[in-house]
Amino acid sequence: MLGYHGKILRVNLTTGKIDIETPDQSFYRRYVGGRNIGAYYLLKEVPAGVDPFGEENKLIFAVSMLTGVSMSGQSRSSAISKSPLTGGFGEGEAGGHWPAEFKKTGFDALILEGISKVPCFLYINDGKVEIVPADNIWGKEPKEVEEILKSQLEDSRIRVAQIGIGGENLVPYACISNDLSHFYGRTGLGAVMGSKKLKAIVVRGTSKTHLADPNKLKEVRTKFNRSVSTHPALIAHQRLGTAKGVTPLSAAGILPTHNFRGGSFDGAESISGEKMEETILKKNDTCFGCAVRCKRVVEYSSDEFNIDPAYGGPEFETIASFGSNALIDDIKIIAKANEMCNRFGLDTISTALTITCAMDCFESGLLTLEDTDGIELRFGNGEAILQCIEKIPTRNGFGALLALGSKKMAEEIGGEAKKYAIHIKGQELPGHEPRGKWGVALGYGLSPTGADHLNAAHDPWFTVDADPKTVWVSLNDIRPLGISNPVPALSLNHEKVRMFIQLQDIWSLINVIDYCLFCMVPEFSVLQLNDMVEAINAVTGWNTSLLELALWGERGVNLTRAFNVREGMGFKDDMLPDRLHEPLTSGIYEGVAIPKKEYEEAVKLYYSMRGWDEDGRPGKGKLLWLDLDWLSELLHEH
Amino acid sequence: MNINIKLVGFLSLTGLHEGFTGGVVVLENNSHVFDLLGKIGVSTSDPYLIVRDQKILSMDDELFNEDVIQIVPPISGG
Repeated sequence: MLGYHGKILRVNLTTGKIDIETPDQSFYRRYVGGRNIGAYYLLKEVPAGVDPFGEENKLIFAVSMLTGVSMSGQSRSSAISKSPLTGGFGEGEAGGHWPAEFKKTGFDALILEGISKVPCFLYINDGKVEIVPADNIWGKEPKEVEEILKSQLEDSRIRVAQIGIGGENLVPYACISNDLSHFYGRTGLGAVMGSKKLKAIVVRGTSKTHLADPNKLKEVRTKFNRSVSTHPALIAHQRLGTAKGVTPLSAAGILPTHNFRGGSFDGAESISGEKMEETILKKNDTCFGCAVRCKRVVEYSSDEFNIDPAYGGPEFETIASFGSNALIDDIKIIAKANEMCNRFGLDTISTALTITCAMDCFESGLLTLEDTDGIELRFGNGEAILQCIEKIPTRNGFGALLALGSKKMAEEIGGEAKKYAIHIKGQELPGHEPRGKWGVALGYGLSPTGADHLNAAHDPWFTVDADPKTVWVSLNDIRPLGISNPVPALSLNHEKVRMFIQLQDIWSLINVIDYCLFCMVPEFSVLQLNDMVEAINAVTGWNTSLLELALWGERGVNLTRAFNVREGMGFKDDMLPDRLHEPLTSGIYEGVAIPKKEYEEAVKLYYSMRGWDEDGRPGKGKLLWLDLDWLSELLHEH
Repeated sequence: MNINIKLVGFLSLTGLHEGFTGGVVVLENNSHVFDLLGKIGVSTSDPYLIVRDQKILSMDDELFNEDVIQIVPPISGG
């Protein structure tokens, strides 16, 4: 089989049993990789209602046909499980070197089941698999863990995916890292891994997959690599990373500020990518095989604190969440908060939004100094943020409340606290203010993982029919999807819902093929959608098309929805927090709120267009159309 | 009249597609936004927000001497 090894590794941590499964090509053509392979196994093998920390939950890592090939943006993998944060579909995608190295071990996916009796790590070395006791690394921080493992295994070229003490202590928003600074950030997958007493997955391999047409792949690769120094999107992305978004989003009134009250932050320039570049940026870093080099590496030393460059620098989401949203205008504080979260293995967005929820509770008198262990937990107090983060992974004092996440913490505090918890399905909102781009509101509400900014393209690019030669991505780039007309940002009409669906399928595809969104349409017009078809054909020889790629994406949307429906989620869980139906207090969209009724109608229309019922359950016909007959039986006949 | 153009964020790095990187633009009195955009090579169908004093301007809004105009690019996920 071209592009794949045709092998899926199954490891039972309770019994120590290791199996290798060999699905046929039709499985791979239907489920492809990443999100869809993960969702397939979760639905087939994890019964409804299981405890995310229980023995029956599974943690799946999957890659795709593109992982490890000679092309920028391909070294990414998905981690999938039932989320302890939302109780629904849990998913993260991460880059680095680990994904490509995992593929070289000779497997396309890894299914982890059961719970080890003792802390352990998994060592996969060119097809050989061992479960190794991990007493010597349990409780240690990621940098030290990597050093110990390299020495213990006598191999400096291993790649490590691991959890921090946040995951070991089952903090429900704990994450998993690849190579210290790339993260399966959201939905608490690190806690699932910790519940299995699995500290790390170490990979080392030399196996390559065969390609159908290496020359065609080289053409796609060359086209991309030429763009790195000429396409303005990649020039900016390489220079400033995702942090390039801070000042434009603030100027555009869509940078979350003061716990999602406002959309513009006076201190935006002080926490921008430009400021990072001037002050603490040490160098760029990159994922395996990628020419873009967009990752930040930062370093800082002072009497107050040091920032260890090993853990990378803050991305935009972290800057917005710990910065403008907390009224912090010091990039060094944000970078330190980022480093601490990365060391402890905590999702930066959920950590920050839980702390800002607590700040609101403190300032409104719902929490006292006694409750916060003496921390003056006010917006703008950077030291308070760092003190809070320190307490979370070990649930130390006030940290025990913070470790619940904003939704459960607010429930625990009681009173008006719930209005300060800005989440959907229990997952805290990322750094994009949707009151200035209503398509993002749909993305947040309808994401299977709770609020997630990477569920569909953001409106501002597609509000006009721009000349494709003058912008980073335009309507012209997404016309192959059948999208004809621009749609205003502040609209939830049927055209917006339709465009949202068409783009959501492509963003789902990105998670299925585990490709970097910054390398292709609809994020940047570097690789066009048809270039991606060419690349996949060059690898697999499948004679595929954009139609089939969109189908893979749509399949992913339905698989993930089905999981949530089976867990009891429906229309009520797709609603927005009340804060988003209140007017913005600052920025060019001051006074704008998302009309609740209009949003509800848009969601109902979305369901209808998707072929789902009025509570968002995928219809029998839709599932049969998507070649998911077994899922149709699961959802409709049981 | 003089209009001070500020390109926001990475636009100041990359410039607009005809090379304009910000600064003072001289226009006739009673000019409008579309006159300004024409002068700096921005199409009215480009997806930039044209902002003055935290308010979005439309193409036929009038400009005044010493106005500070921000040109804000779209930005999305990350």
